Amino acid sequence: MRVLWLTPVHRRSAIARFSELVVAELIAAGCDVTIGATETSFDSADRHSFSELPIAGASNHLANGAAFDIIVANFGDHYPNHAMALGALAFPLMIGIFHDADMSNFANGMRAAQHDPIGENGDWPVGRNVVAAIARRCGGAVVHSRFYLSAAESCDGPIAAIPLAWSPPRPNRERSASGPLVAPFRLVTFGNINPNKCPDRVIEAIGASAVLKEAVEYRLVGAVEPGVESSLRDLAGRLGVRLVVVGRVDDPELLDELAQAAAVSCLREPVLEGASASAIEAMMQGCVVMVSDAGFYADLPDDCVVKVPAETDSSSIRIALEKIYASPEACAALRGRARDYSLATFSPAKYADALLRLAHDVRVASSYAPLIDRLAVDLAGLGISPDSGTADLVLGSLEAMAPVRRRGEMSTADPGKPAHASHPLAGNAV
Amino acid sequence: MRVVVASSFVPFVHGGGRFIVEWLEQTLQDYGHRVEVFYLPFKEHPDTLLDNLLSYRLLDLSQNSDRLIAIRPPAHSLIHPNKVVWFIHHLRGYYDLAHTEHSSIPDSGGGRAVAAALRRHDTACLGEARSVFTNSAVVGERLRRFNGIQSEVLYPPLFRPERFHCKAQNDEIVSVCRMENHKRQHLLVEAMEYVRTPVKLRLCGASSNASYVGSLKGLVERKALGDRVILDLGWISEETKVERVGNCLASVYAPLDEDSYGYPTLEAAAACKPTLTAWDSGGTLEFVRDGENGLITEPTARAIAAGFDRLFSDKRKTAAMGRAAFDTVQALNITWEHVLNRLLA
Repeated sequence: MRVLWLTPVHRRSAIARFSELVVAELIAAGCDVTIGATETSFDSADRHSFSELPIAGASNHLANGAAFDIIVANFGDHYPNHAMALGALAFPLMIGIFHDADMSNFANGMRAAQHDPIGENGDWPVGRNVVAAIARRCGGAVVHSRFYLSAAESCDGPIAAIPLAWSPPRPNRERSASGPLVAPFRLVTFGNINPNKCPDRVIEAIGASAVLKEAVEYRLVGAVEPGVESSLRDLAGRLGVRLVVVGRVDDPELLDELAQAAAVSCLREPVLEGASASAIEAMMQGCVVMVSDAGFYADLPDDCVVKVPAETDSSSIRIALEKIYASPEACAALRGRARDYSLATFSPAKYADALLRLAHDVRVASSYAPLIDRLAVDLAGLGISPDSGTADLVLGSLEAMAPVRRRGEMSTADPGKPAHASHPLAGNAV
Repeated sequence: MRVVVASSFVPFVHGGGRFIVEWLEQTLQDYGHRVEVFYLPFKEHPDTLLDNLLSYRLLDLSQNSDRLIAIRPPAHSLIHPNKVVWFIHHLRGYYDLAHTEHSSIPDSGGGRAVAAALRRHDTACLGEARSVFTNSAVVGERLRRFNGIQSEVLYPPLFRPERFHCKAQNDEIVSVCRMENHKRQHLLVEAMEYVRTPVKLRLCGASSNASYVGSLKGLVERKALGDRVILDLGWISEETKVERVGNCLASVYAPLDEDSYGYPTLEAAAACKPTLTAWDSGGTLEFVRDGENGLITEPTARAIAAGFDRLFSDKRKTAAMGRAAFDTVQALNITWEHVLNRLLA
């Protein structure tokens, strides 16, 4: 199968790393994969390896897009990283992978660039509506967690919820089975440190507990805006919390941080991402991971992570941290389960397998689209109502032949969609 | 039993795909069954392929019948509670011959997607059948490889094969089949340039490809083979066929990768004549055994010419191979009784 894979490719992109993992599996499965970079400015010197495949800008490959069996376009909530993926929407044999449930920033970027391939009559979509607006122009759609599957259901083609593919680099040092390698009790938040990761609430939680204040060193590992850093330092100082701002680190340093962490905070409020590579990576490293009980994180098994109620208030965080601190043996068992679960669930090979099955369905469903267009017109022209026995016979026969499903009413014509999309048949189930 | 036999057809095109239906109908009636035959039109162009498949799915042939026997694709798409498929070939332009000169599928993602849709459809519809039979092991292997469907080989017999008998042994090697590019009559003509004996070649058959026939005529003329290559152009009657085959030295049938052994092979065997074929001819190799009941050669003009010369030079051996071919029909159980037993089981 000839696959055109559109993705950001630069080294700092987690989606590029995800893509590299899946592409390697697709190649192993016999696919002929071409990589198209979707950044607005693509720097060929600062890229993931992608099995040393040549990489050109997405638009170069899309000029010959009809030659591919399937085009896979990755969409995340950062317009400069994904802008060129929008060109794939012109092709029927195309799957959109949605990495974020909320793509407001992406829409803002489009607006700033005055690039509007998905707007509806001048109205700019926001939040999950951005996902829906893009998905309705895809031949198939992938989300990484069921909590935002409904946004992808605007896609007429087959859709699937596939757990994100991830695979951590090998750690520099092995974590001990029973707990952190060094005292004190290290709690780590890593990635791009911003208010969405709730570092202020974590500091408040530690500051509200004499035990935690005494034991915990809270480490922020990753880029942090000066203003955010300053306010966090002020807060920690007022509450007597030991805060270490490590700043940006490279991969080996991050792995060292995780190896020495007693726990990792992957709290989010609100939850915007479709899946958290941070949480998955921490679980794969055998960390005790504290998460907000919402979105992607809510789907993680209760016995593999420590969940804080979705509101993620500081008192709930305090209770969770005290429990982690007081239960080293239970935490050791949890670490093992987290590692086993994450390695089995977020497997690149499984992801590629599920994606290939979806691609097959998309190809078959797209072949039937012209037929469905004609049938919609013919049935409506004959005055046959969607709930008549005749329509049922025709539609039932089609459903048995192709991965399509009925939806809506035949009369709900939508000028922004092809004729078959306003027909009771469209897409397929997950 | 009330039996519906359904098959697809191309208007005004006759060949093995129709014979098998007509002969099955007649034989079922001879055995006391009631039979209705449905020929359904079918166009396999990618633009309308799926429309055609849907139209088959919408037909209900189950009324008043105990069994459906589906023959030429996509008749297996028909729905019937007692569907049996005698599968004689895939739409090969979408399968093993995709993106060759024999296919009209665009070499694009969209074209290949239509092929994927057909494969999914075929697999699902064949899976509905209570039994799937094929006309050759070659076709059965393709069903297994492309669709994951297990099948049983049910060789199609001739209709009233006793019409054929060995009358004489003249100097002609005959080919009785449609004249089409993939039947490779041109290769046989080219071979005649290299023969060293007075053997002759007679090509009989109609064609839907006027340019191919024209090229054959031109080839005979260019090679100055008019005295040794006889072109019987057009559809020949059954009586003429019996006559031609019954008097010949041997038969030649060397198509490219054919689905089954082909009726020409069976007609020759019924008249105790051996068949020369090529190792890349597909289904013929399930019947012809080299040096026993025929010859298998390289698919080249020189190799075929050498085979023709062998058949001419040792006529006793050729006659013996013909008798062995006759026996092969029984050995492979190529009988209508067996066919009906299996299709109606």
